Amino acid sequence: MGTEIKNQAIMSSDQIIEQAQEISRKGKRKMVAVAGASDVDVLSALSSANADGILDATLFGDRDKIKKCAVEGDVDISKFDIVHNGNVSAATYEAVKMAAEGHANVIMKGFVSTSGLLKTVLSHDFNLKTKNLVSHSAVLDIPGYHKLLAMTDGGMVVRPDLEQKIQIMENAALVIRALGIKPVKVALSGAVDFVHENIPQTIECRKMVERVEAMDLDDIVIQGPLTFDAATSKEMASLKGVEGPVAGEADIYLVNSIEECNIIAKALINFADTVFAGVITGAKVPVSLVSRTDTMKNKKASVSIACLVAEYYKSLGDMGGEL
Amino acid sequence: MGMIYPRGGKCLKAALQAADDGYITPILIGHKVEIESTARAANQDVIKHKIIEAENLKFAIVNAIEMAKAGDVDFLLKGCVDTTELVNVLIGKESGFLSKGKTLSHIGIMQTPKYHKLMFVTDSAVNASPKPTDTIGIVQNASSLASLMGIEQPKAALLAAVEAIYPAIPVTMEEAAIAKMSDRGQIKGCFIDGPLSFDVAIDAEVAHSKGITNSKVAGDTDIFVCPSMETADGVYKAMVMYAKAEAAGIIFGGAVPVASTYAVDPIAHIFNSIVLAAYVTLH
Repeated sequence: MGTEIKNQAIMSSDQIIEQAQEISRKGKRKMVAVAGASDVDVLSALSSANADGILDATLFGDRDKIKKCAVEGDVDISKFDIVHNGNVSAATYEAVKMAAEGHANVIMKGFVSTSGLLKTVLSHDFNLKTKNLVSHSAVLDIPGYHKLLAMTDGGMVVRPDLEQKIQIMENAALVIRALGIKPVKVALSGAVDFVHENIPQTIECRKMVERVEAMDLDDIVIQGPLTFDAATSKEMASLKGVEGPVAGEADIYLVNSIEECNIIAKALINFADTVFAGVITGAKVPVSLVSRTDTMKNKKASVSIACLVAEYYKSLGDMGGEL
Repeated sequence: MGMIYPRGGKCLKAALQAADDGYITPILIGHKVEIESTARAANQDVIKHKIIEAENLKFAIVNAIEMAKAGDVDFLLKGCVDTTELVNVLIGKESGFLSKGKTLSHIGIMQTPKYHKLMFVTDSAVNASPKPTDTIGIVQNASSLASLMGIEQPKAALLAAVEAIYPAIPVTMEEAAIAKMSDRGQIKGCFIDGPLSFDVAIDAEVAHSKGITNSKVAGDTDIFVCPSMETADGVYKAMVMYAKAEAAGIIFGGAVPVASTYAVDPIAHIFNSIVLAAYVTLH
C-alpha cells in the first residue's frame, strides 16, 4: 500500500501537511480541479498550499472573476492554469470531467453549491460513483488527545439510518487508512456507555455493532455506544467501568446527526485550539471544501488530507483494489 | 442536602468539604457499611453526619425523593453513581418528583477562558431526543436557573448545523418555530433564537458574516440548547476535557434541584455544583 511513503501513522494536523509535501516531493504531486474558482478563500488556501509544495491546481470558472478575486485577496495564482467558462454549471462539469478522466486527483468546491457539485460528481456522465453515499469527515487534531479523531458526518446526511451509518463509517475508514492507521477504531456516539432498553439510540448502536461485526472486516474494530469522554480517554472509560478496544482510542467518532457532529466539532475548534481537516469521501475522487470561517491552517490541512486520500486511492488502484 | 448513595470518594470529599465550609448540612443516603468504607478509603470522617440506611441505589433514590418532597432536604446531590439510573427514577410517574407539565433537564454551567460569559449547556442527561415541548421546557429550566443567578433575560441559542431553515432538516423547522413562539411572547423570561450554528452563537463577527444581523442572541449566547442528549453530552465532555472549562452541573425542574456531575468532573466541579444548588435553593 504505497509503503515507501506511508511508513508510519499520521497523528497530527502538522503531519498531515508534511505528508502531503512528502508525497509531492516524491514526484506524486496532486492536481486539484477547482469548480467555480472565483472564491478568495479557496484561492488563498490553494496558493499557500502550492507555495508549500503541496499541490497544483487548475481553476475552472469565469477568468475575469477569478483574476478579480485574486487581486482583491492579494493572492498569487500565476502558478495555476485557468480554464475559462462563464457558466457555473458548465465550469463545474469540466472540473469534474478532468478528475474523472484521471487528469486531476482532487475535486475542490469553489463558488458553487455543495449539492450542485456533488450532483455533478455522482452523475451518470462520470464513473465516479461508488456503492456508498458521500459523506464528510472532520479530522480533528485536539490538543490533549493523542491521535487524530475523524468525526462524521457533519455535512451530508441529516439523520443517518443504520445502512447509511455503515456507509459513512466505511467512508471515514478510507480517510483513516489514508493516514496509515490500522486497525481503524470506530466509536459509535452515545450519551451513555451502555445499551439501555429505554434509550432507542443505544439499541441502534447495538444493532450497528452486530452488523459490522458480521461483515467480518479485518481492519475495523467497532464499539458503541460510547460517550465522547469514554471514546477519547482510557482513564475516563475505566472510571466508568467501560472496557473494550475502542475506549480511549477512537479514530472515528460516528455520530447520530449532522447537528451533533457540527456542534461538538465547533466547540472543540473554537474553545480547545483544535485544528481540523475536512474531506468528503464516498466518490472515487476525494472532494475538498473549505469555508470562510476556517483558519489558514485548517484550510491547508483540509487540502492536504484530500491529497493523502487521493494518494491512498491511487495505491489501492495500483494494487488492483476497488473503492 | 441529601446525598444520594455516596459511592466514590470524589463526591464524598466534595460534599464534606462543602459541609466543613458551612454551605450545607449533608444527610448521606445509602448503605451505611459501604459509606463508612468509602469514607475510610478517601480518608474522610462521616461520624458527625446523619446517615439514612438504604440497601441499594434504587432504595436510596426513592428515599431521597421522599425526603425532598417532605421538605427534609432542600436539594439533592447525585453521588458518584450512574446518572441514567437516577434519572429513570426521577422521571418515573410513581416517584412524584416531577409535577405534571414540567420538564426535568440537566444544565451544565461552564466557564472557559475563550468565552466572555458563563455557558449554560443543556440537556446532557434527561431528554434523549427532545420534542418541541421538551425543548421549550429545557429552555425554561435553563432560563430560570440563569435568572436565579442574576442573569436577566438570558439569551438562548437553539443550536443546529446551519442558520438557514430547511424543511428537509427537521431540527431547523422545530427550532425556528420555537424561536417564533418566543418572538410572539409565548415564551417569557428569555430571548430565544434558532436555528443557530455554534460559531454564530458565540461570535458576533461570524454571525454578521453569515448574514445574521438582527439577532438578540447570536454572538452573546448564555444558554446553549443542544438538539440531542448526545450532542449536549459531547459538548460538556469536550469542554471539560479539552477546553479547560470549569463546570457545575444541576438537574433542574423537579421537586428540588439535584447537583449532578459526571465521571469526567474533578472534585472542584462537584463542589461548585453543591454550592450552586444550595444558592439556588435559597433564592
